[in-house]
Amino acid sequence: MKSKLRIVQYSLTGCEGCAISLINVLLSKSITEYVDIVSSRILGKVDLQEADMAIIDGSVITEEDAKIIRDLRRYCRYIVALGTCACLGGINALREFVEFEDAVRVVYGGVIPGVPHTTRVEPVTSIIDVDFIIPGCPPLPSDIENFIISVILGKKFRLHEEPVCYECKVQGFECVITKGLVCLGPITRGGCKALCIAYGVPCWGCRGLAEEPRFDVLLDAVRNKGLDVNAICEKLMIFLNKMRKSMDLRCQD
Amino acid sequence: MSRLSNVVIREHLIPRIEGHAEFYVEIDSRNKRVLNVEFRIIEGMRLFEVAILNRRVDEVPLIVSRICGICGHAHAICSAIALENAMGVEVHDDINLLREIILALNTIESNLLHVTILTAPDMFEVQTINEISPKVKKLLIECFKIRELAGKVLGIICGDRIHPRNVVPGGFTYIPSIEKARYLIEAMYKKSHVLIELLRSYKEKYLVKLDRVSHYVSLHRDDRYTLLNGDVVIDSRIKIPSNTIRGYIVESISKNSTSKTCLLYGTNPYMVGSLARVNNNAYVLVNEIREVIKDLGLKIPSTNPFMIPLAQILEVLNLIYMLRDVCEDLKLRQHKVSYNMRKGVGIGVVEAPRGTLYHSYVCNDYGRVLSVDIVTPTVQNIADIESSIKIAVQNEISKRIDLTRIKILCEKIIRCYDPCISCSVHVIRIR
Repeated sequence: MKSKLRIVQYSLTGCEGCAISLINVLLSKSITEYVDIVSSRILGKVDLQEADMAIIDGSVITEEDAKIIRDLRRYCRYIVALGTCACLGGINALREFVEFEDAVRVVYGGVIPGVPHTTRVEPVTSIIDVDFIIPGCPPLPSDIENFIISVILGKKFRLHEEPVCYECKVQGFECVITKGLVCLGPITRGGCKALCIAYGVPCWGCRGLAEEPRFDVLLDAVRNKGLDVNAICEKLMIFLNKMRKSMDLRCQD
Repeated sequence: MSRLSNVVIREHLIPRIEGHAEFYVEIDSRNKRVLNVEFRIIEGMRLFEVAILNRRVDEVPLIVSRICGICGHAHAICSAIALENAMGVEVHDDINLLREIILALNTIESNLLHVTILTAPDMFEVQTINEISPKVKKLLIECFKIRELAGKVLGIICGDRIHPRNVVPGGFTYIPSIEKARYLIEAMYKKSHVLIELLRSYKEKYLVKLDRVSHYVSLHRDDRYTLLNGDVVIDSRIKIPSNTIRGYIVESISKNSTSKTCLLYGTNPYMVGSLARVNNNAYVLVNEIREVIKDLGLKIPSTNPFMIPLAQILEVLNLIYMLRDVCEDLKLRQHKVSYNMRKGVGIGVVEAPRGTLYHSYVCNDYGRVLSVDIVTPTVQNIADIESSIKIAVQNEISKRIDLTRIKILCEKIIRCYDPCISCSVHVIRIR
C-alpha cells in the first residue's frame, strides 16, 4: 500500500482564496484518503513539518514571508506555487506603480505599523526554486484536483500551453477585441475555458503568459480598433505588473 | 508593585482563523488583574487603496474582490453599489435581488466553513477536525456538503465561487440560466435538517458562559431578514441611514498591528456579524427558524460571543429557507443598466458574511477612481474581541492562574468571532 502524500499548506500574504480552494480539493472524497496534511494553519496545525510537498499561495510581502519560504524549501522535497500571486506577483503587485515608502506615507500618514515589510512584492518563483506552478486567480478547482491526482498517480502534470484565444475559438465565442474591448487573451495562457469572456468580461491575463504569447496579434488588433498601447499597459498592471516592464511595450508611466 | 508578578501570554499565528494574527495578554498575577490585551493583525499590507487609484470604475469591483478569498463577492457587490451611488446610477430591483441572493450564498458558504472546520474542534478541545469523534465528524461532513452546494450555485451565477467575474457598476455583465441553481438550492434545503443536529452539538459541547453586553450593529428591515437594503441599526433600536453611518464610527491605527480599530461614537467597542444580525433581526427570522430557536431553548437575542457560531448556523438555515422561496419563480427582467460617467462621492453598505461592510469612493467625470475608504467587518470587531478576552481572562484568573488554559481561552474567543484577517489590513485616510 503506497504511503500517503505528505503536504504542507502555507499561505503567504494574500487573500487566501487559493488556500481555501486547495483545502476544498484535499478534503474531497476522492482525494482525502491519499493525502496527509501535516501542516496547515487554517486546519489547526501551525508548526512546519518535513513533507513531500509544500503548496504555497500568496506573495512575499513581509520579512516573515521571506524567511518562511526559505524554511519550506529546506523542509520539503517539492515546492508548488499556487495561484497568480505566488507564481507571478499577481494583484498584490498592482500597487507597485507607487514606491512603497510613498504609498505608506500618503496613505498611513507616515506611521508604519510594526510588522517588517519588504519594499518589493515578490512571487515565490523569484525567491526560491519552484518545482510546479498552478497559475490563476484563483486556479480552476479542476487544475488543483488534476495536479494532486497526477502527483498521487506519479503522472506528469502539464499546464495548457495555447493562448486563451484557443478557448474562445473552441467554444465559438465572438472575439471581444473585434468589439473594441482590450482583451489579453492572445498573450495569456489558456486552460481556463475563457471563463471571463463567457461571463462578459475580457481577459485580464491572470494565468500568466502563454508558451508563445502573440503580442503582435494583440497590438495589431488593438490598433485596428483605434485604441492605444496604454490601454493594454493598464490592463497588464492588474495581474502582470511585475513582468510589464520586461514586455517592452513602451508604456507611458 | 513588583514587576515580577506580571505574566505575558502570547501566541504568534493563531490557528484555525483566516489570515495571520497574534494575541498578547499581560496579567498582574499577584493582584489577579488583566493589564493589557492586544489582538494584533500581522498580515502584510497589500495597499488596495493605492492599487485602485485611477482605475476605471468598471474594473474596480473585480479588483477589490481580491481583498478576500472568502468574501470576495461581498466586496465586489459593495463596491459596485458604492460606485453607482457616486455616479447617481439607479438599478432595477431585480439586480439588487440577485445581488442579495449572491450575498446569501456567500454567507452560507463562509459560515459553514467556520462552523465545520474552524471552530468545530473547539467543541472537543482538540486541534483539528481529524481528532473529533467519528459520529460528529460524519455530521460535519454532511454540513460541509451544504457548503459545497452553495459554492456550486455561486460558481454558476458569478462564474467562480471565490472571485466573481460578472459584477460591475450597473449590475452584471452576464447572467446564466438560473435552472441548475434552483435545483441545487432545493438540494440544500433537503439536507438542511443536519444543521439542526449541528446546532444541538454546538449547544451541548461548545457554549461557554461569557456574559458581556456589547453593542450590536447590522442592517435591518422591518419586513424581512436583509443583507443589502434597509437601515443600519444599533442594538435593535437606533436606526441610522446608511449614508450617514460613517460619522458614528471612529477609527485609529495601532502601532503593533497592520490594521485599525473602530469604536462606536469614538468610545465603545461593538460587534458586527451573524450574532449582531440575528439579534437585531430576531423578529423577522423565518417562522421555522424561530421554532428551532424555541425547541432548542436558545437564548436569542444573546450577549454571549460564544453564541456567534450558533447564530451563524441559524442564519444559514434562515437564508436557505429564504433562497428556496425566492428562487421558486425567479425571473430577472434586467441584469444591467447603462450609465454615464459622472463625478461624485458614494457609499455602499452590505452585510458581508462577517458583518457590515462599507466601501466609499470618489470618482471623476472620466470614470476613474480618485480615492477609496473601506471599513471591513473584522476591523470593526477588533475592539470587541479585545474586550471579550479581557473580561473572560479576568473571570478565569480570579479562580486560578493556568497559563495553558488562558491561552486556549483567548484562542477560542478570537475564533468564535470568525475574523477575516486579509480583509482587515487596509489603510486610513489622513483626516
